[in-house]
Amino acid sequence: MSVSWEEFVTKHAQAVLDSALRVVAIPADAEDVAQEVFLEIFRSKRLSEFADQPALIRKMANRRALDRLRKRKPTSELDGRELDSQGHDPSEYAIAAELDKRLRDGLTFLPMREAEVFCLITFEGCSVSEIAELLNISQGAVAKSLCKARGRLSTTLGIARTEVRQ
Amino acid sequence: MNEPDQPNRNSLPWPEAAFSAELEAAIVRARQRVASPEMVERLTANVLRLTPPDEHRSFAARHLNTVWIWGGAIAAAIVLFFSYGFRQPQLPKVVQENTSLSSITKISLVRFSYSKIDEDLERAEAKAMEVSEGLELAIIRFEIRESLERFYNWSE
Repeated sequence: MSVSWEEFVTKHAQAVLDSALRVVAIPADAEDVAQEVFLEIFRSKRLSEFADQPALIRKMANRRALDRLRKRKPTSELDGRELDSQGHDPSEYAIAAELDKRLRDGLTFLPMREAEVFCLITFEGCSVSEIAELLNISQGAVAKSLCKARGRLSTTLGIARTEVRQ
Repeated sequence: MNEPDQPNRNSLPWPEAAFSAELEAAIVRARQRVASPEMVERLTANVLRLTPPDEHRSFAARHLNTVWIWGGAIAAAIVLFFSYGFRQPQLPKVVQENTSLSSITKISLVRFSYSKIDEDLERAEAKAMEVSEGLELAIIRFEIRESLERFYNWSE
């Protein structure tokens, strides 16, 4: 299949940005991640291969986003919080925002494979067989990574929830 | 709080009790995060700006000219080989066995052998020219013709 670069970028920009945004949550970081992904694809000169496999592009976006999340210094987003909280109880909103942040922080402490599997399944809605094929591992290994990731996150975020309740 | 919709988990041994409703909600919130059209537009423009326009074409399109050039060269080589290679007349044995001889010596040998065994002027001339391999053809032609004419005059 022959596809031009413009067509490729236009077609996959939304999906790559969404994948990155779900993990990093900050739009500017998501744009940087998406840009890195496209440049990597461009330099690899395997456009037709990527064009046939949108899941592979999503996997790349997830991995780069997780890398970005791990390298990120502690920051606080200033824009949008007040607007987002409209119509919600401020305390509930604060707890939700804190849990969102803790969820992302929890992802950075997971081993890369577990974080990747967790993001692809929970955020991207990929099937286990699809992830097994993408990561070149067995379906059992995917299930194991997922259960471990959930276990670790449950511990981390359970503690976090108790903290924010107090 | 509404129960979050679950992705296709293919009947995993799923530890459903591991996450609280709030944490599941945090995951659902993350899953529902989508980029705005402005972000998509900005990203597309940035990526296209950062990548050189002449390389936007697909691999096949970029290398089409190269493929044509190489394909043409190989086809021409095959045609030349089959049309010329098989029909090349044998050189006199003395020339074949002495590949280290200079071109001029080879020409002399060819001229000698053809003028002796074959009285066809054109053939001797053509053969000598072929072996000359880029030397000054005009001089060689003149010399061959002259020597063969002398040979004919002498023989008459």
